[in-house]
Amino acid sequence: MSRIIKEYSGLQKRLGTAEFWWINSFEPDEDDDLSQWSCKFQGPSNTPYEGFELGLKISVDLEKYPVSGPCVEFEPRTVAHPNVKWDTGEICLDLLKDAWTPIYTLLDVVGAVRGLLEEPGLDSPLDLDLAQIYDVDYDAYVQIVRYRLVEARFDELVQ
Amino acid sequence: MRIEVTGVSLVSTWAWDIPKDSSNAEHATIQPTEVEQEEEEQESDEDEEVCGICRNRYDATCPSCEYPGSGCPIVLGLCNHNFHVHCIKQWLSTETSRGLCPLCRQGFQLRTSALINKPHYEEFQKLLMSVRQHNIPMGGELDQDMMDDGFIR
Repeated sequence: MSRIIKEYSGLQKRLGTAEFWWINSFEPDEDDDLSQWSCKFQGPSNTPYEGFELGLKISVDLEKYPVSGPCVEFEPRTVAHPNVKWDTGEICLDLLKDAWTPIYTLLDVVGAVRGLLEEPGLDSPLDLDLAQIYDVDYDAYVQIVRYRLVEARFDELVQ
Repeated sequence: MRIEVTGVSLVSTWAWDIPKDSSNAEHATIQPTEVEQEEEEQESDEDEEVCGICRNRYDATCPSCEYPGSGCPIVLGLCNHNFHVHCIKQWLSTETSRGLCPLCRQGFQLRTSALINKPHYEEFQKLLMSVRQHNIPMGGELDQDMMDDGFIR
């Protein structure tokens, strides 16, 4: 049985455990295609993302997974973060690139993304301006991030 | 009552003899052993008895094989991490692997004392050599990079 099917069958059970209370939903977009997944999770507390639900899109190369890691992106134009490209949602995370090993699961990846929200990697930013602001004026940084989150939520409501 | 036996079907079970630590590694063979079946089944659910890459049991097949056994053998790492040979070979063939064990990130090496590893030495040597070469840039590549960066004009 392939790894992704194993993960799929164990996923709902694991989501029910205390460890993953912060995940609101995590499932494949279509029941018969395990290559495209969506995950909604709560922004971690004590960060500007607290109180907001964030959406990740995960795509898995079924031929190569888990020898190659999945591609993980935020919904475009929803999350402002030093390691996230605002327009595309692309995430710069070592676990998705050089540090990937096949022992990680999709849940580990989502956990690592959440960790990145708690602690941005400022030595390798994708959003240089935001990283700069984080450094020089943290309060302004928080305001910008929250403003963008509110704006994104508003856009979603309008659509 | 008279019973006529028309045929007999033999059924057997087998399991990989996987050493838990280096002390009994020498005795690792492909011989099936009688493991305490029940005890094993209880423990086996998670980590201990499954391949860290495909998460299938060692005595089941890797995802690319149909039949378990000698067609889909396991190999024992020097670092005490064991994998289906097909799974670990696939991983070590990628550049991202850098020749490291997926679990502990030490350079992956077959344990030489284990008989079960014997048929795979040569292949693994070659595989690891080529991954390492990939990760140590040769003179030409390095110079090109430096020129691109404007170090050498």
